[in-house]
Amino acid sequence: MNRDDFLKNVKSGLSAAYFPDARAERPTAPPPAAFNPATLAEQFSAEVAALKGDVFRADTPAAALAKIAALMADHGATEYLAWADEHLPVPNLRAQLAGHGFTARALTIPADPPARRKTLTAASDIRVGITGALAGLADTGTLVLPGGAGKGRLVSLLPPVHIALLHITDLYPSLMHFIAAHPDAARSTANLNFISGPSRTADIEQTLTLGVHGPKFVHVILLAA
Amino acid sequence: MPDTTFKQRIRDALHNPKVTHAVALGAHNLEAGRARAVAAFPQMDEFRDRARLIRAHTISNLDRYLAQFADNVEANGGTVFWAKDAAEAVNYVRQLAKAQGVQQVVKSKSMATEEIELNHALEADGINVTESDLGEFIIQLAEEKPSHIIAPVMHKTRYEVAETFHEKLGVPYTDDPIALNDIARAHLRKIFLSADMGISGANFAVAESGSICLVTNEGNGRFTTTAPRIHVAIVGMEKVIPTFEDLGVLLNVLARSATGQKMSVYTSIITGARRPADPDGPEEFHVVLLDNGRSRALASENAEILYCIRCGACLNHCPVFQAIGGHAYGSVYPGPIGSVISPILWGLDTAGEMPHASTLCGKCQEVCPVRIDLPRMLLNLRAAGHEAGKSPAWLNWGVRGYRMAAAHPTLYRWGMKIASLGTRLLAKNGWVKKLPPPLNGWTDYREFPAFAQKSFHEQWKERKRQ
Repeated sequence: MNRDDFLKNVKSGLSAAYFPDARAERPTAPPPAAFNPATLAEQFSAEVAALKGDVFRADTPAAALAKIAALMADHGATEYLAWADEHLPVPNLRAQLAGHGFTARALTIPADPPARRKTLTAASDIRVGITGALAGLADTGTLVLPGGAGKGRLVSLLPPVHIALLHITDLYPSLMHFIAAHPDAARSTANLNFISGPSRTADIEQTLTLGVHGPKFVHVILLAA
Repeated sequence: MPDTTFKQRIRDALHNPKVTHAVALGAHNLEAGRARAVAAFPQMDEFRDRARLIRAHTISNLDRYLAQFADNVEANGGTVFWAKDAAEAVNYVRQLAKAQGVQQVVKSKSMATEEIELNHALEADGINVTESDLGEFIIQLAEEKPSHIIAPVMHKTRYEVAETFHEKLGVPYTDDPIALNDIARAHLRKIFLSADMGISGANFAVAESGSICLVTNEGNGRFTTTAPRIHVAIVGMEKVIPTFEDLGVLLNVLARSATGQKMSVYTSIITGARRPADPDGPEEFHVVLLDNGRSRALASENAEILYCIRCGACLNHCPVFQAIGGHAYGSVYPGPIGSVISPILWGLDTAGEMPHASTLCGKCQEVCPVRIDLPRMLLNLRAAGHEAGKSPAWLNWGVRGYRMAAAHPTLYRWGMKIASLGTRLLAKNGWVKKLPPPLNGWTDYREFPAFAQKSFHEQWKERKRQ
């Protein structure tokens, strides 16, 4: 059906219908209260832990780097995927991790189907993905990850381990606080992800299993201001 | 719709202890989850009120918001197809798949695609279609339909899943859910990385940016909409909402109502295909907007059903659903929401019995995140069925008889005296379990206590004399 006829169908129904509680204007609410991000770290950490992720507080970029190296070793990984250096809050991550013997792999997916398949399959054995984050939501233990140049979606999806670097100053009390501060976050990228803990399912007899298709481990490194 | 009768399916379900056990377990877990989440979120009622206002405003201005949504999808380089019905939607996807040489489709969970039976049509064209949500993957292997709108395999025990995997995938038998999960993960990973087209639904469609929002837990939704080069989203037209802020309000109530989670693991907002310089993402983004009878709801007293955000809470809390499970209803949309939307989408002839499978206890309305008055609409549909001549003879006669008696006080009083004597004669241990025809239709499924020896009026008169 063409657009005009479709919408005509819709519109002709509207006059006859009963819409309880419909207001003419879009309902809005007052903006959320002001807050201090530094006070949110504890709640954020508790919520991430409840989701079976974990949060490490790093006072300095050096401490963050040491933690990343330790996690790589813990997970038996020598290679990793990562967002571009300029989008990560630890300066020169690649050069520094190379010093520890860890190699960054690139992952740019070609448009052409056979090459696409080949590239995806070749990357599927990488164990760790390292990203930044636009924000963290304290009340739900959520990481906000935008897509875009240098911020591949697959970095936080393909490997079983996701290491996310987040500034404490980018914590928000809740989703509504984040949206009020970033009303264009969704439209400004082709893919905006809100990630709350490791991947999970309870489809079989309500038994919880982690790491279904997405990462099984989510390690958040929370950097001091 | 299956070719057994509703009553047969109900009886089969009630006599199948595996199903009744699995469904009761699943539903009670989700009930408990919601209760915990609501207790931990003092603003729940405030957000539910806001959510209802947003949905009411949007649905009552649906044409405007659909137009805005479509304009923005197209401004971002996406393609919008306006599907009047299931056939149009299916044919669009088939033609697209053919033109693009698609051989393997990967799907993330979408009730809209179940509604239009998309998988069968693509498979008939020789295309491999693999469901990637674990529950949907299991029912696809078992060649069944989902029994719940968010927990598709709620009706199965782990042993049945183990049998299905062993039989259909040729793996050694194991009924450990974690091992079963690993089998599914390995199998589906290959599909994610090689599929030509990913098909998803959408939990919401945001008009101001032309975005769709997917609420998932497993990561399969993200893979489906990232790895293949073509992404098609099938979106019921009622899914649209005005702004990102409105999305925030609805996300606050959706997962809490559905499973008791504060947020699902992955809430993904997709705005078009990959942009220049994006390292990954699909090359093409298509949105199929689906009417398929929803405009019939709009033009009626049941338009409120379109406020639904598909959380499944009404199913989980419904005593009838808990007793019989989703398959007995005979529709991919079971439970209270299904009993209203199915007759609207598929007609009273096909689904007219569903609104009767309710005690009208009202629990569904109590737990609905957008406070939909489901009991009102269940009654509306019962009335519509009655007016269309679908009520059984015993009900027609019974109602006629009652109406006559209720309008004639003397007749009523004598009727009550006879009923009192009659029920006390028929009763066993004070309960009437069998009435003679034509009233046996009532007692086939219900019992009631014998009438008292003296009516309230008689007792009142006696007391006044004393």
